[in-house]
Amino acid sequence: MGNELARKLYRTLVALYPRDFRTRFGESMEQTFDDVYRERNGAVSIFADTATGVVTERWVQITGLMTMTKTTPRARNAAILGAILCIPPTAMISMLVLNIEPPFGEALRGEPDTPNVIGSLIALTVFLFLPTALFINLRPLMFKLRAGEGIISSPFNLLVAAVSFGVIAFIVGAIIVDQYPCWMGVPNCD
Amino acid sequence: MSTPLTPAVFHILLALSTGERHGYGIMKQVESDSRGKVNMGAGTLYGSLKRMLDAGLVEESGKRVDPEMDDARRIYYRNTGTGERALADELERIEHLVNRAREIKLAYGK
Repeated sequence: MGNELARKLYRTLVALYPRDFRTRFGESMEQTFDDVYRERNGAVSIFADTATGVVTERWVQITGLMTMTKTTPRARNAAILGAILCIPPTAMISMLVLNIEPPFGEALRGEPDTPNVIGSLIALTVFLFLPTALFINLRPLMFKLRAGEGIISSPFNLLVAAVSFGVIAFIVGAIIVDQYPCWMGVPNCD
Repeated sequence: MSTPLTPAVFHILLALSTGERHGYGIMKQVESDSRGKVNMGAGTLYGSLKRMLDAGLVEESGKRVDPEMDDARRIYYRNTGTGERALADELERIEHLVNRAREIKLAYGK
């Protein structure tokens, strides 16, 4: 393979990397390719390794899963999504605690003494937002810990995780306090 | 003891422990350190360097010409304090494993 053709092919391969990676290392990679090509009289293996690198970096870009990966944009997105997910259940709990009737409460209530399937499903779905917010914010915190950084280095993820965990703990605690008499066999318990 | 390093990260830290190097310099040093057993490609090298830079194990030490090569300016890398500590921990872990393996070998008389 001629030197110029090989260089063109390699440049095309490097162009397949994610843009951030290419901007940061593209020039160095092409220099390294030239060095290998010149000193080792050919560079077939470097194509295979670089092609594997393209797949790896694309995978990292999509999933954020890689040892020592700094997931700053992903951590920020997780914090934003987590905060959005925390709002509806926190608002519902606040309205319950403060005895505030939601504007759509009448429509969801249904007939007396009949199971309110739609209302229950909506409530369950909204409450499931909390463990989801907790999970997606624990992941970047775990990455930080594995990279040797403290969890304080992701304060927003920590805050969202703490809020979601706090609301989950409050709900579980409230259910236990509310239902404890029934579990203990108190008559006419509801 | 810290989490074991990946082989690529370990080899890069080891290569940089004896001085600042550019990408191809690291590749050559890795090959030399491993007596030709490890041929690190550019994809593995720069993918690992990216994660190591992000994790603070290595840092760029500037862009300059390698007097032994052509006149192109190259980015040089060096270990940080964190990188040196990670390498020392890994060497200690490997040393412990090798010692343990030797003990087992002696115990079984092989």
